[in-house]
Amino acid sequence: MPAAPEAAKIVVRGLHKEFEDRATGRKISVIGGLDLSVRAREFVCVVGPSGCGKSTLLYILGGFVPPTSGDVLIDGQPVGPPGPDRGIVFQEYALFPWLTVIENIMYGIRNESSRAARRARAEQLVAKVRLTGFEHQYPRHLSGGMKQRVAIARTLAHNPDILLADEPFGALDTQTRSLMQEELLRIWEADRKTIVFVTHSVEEAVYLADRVVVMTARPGTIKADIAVPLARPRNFDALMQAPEAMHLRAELWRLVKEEVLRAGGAP
Amino acid sequence: MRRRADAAVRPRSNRDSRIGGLISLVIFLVTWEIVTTTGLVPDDVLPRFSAVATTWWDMLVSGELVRQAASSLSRQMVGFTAAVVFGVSLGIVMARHRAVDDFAGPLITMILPIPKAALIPLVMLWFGIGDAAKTIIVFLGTILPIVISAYHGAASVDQVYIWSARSMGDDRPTLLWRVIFRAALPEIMAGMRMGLIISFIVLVGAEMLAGQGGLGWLVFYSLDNGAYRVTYAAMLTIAAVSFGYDRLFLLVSRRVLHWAEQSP
Repeated sequence: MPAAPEAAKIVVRGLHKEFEDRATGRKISVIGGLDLSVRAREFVCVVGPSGCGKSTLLYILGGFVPPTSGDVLIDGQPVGPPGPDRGIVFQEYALFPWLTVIENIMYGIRNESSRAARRARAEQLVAKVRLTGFEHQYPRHLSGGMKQRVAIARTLAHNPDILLADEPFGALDTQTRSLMQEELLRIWEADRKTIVFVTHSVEEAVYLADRVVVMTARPGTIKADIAVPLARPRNFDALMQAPEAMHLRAELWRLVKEEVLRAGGAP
Repeated sequence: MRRRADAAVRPRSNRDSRIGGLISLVIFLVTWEIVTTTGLVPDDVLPRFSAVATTWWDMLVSGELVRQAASSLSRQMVGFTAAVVFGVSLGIVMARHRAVDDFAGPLITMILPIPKAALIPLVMLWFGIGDAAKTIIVFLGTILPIVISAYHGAASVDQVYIWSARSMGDDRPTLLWRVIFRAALPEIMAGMRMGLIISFIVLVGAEMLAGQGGLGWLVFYSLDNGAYRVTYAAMLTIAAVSFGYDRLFLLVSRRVLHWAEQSP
């Protein structure tokens, strides 16, 4: 399934990341020799036990955190500082609370010349994430699901090639979560960006991804790289029943559980 | 980040507490009137409240109070505004740039415990007794709480805000203004309020020590001349002006910070 390296959008080779424990001064190895390749327009989910470095991997791809060693290439170039070519969505939404919905979305729009043009584009995005009527609300008046819709719209506003998502639906209740997954797939299927999506939910990974990458316990490496050969567009309810999807979920859960147990956590 | 709007910024808009405050004020004034009319406290030490009120009214009508208050307020505003502009900038830059922090940090922690009133003679020594000296005293007296609050506000800005803005293309200077400053604003406003209260304390002190007009000067001058009614009238004016200023500031910060999770 993985294509030749030259066709890859993201290539990670021999990535190591160490952090220094502030209290003890000891080095902690979070990522220990990780290789990963993501093709353009591919939707890859990363799963693994807590603390396995999956978020750190995402932050390195975003350019927020430098790697300790190894190569991280985007379009064949070493990863640079954060920029509008890579959008990121966080679990905590990270909306600016002092800006309204529309102002938050407009924040990221830079390439339109006039304010009116930026506003028109923001309005389109508001419609895209189905928040028409809430343009002038402040984030504190929105529910978690609505905040995450705004965050997604804000990220799409600067039209990134790559979308990085750090457990974006992790804080939402089950119903909102599955609605948001559906919404994300709808948006992605219309405009296929390369997505690296970190989650702790095996079910979510199987529903969303073209490929699921399982990370080992810390220091994280790739334990398994599993294709999800399910036809799109996918239907969540149908996938819950489909034997192929059930089998995949069971397999992934077995792999993750091994690592959770190895990390010493309760499954 | 979700509890930014500090309790100090929030006025107690609670109606009961407002009425309670009014009652205690009335009791205070009535007691004042009673102890002076009954001769419990000699009239030459504490004039009757009614007499003070009459004097206050006369001075208000004659324009004397307004003139002195304007003189005090102009010094306060220049010094305070300068402290806000300089203090907020310094605090934010210190919080985000290690080198500036290492340089200015020890200096600030060293100056911090000095009682602000102790600066008054020193500043007068350097800058004389004119408006400039008093403005500088207000500046020096109010800048520290502002720097410190801006520093803490800017240092504790949620990482995800910064990362989000960077990934949307903000460079570092833009980030300081568009994200760090806004996110730190609730703490900055709380620090400004502290500075505001201190500004009146040091200003009146400075005006007492060095003449040339102002409400503090009026207190001291009238005391010197045995015009105790004027002394009390001036003191009441100082209390009223600083109280009104503080309320006004609260009103403004409530409007500015309406977006904060904890705002009233």
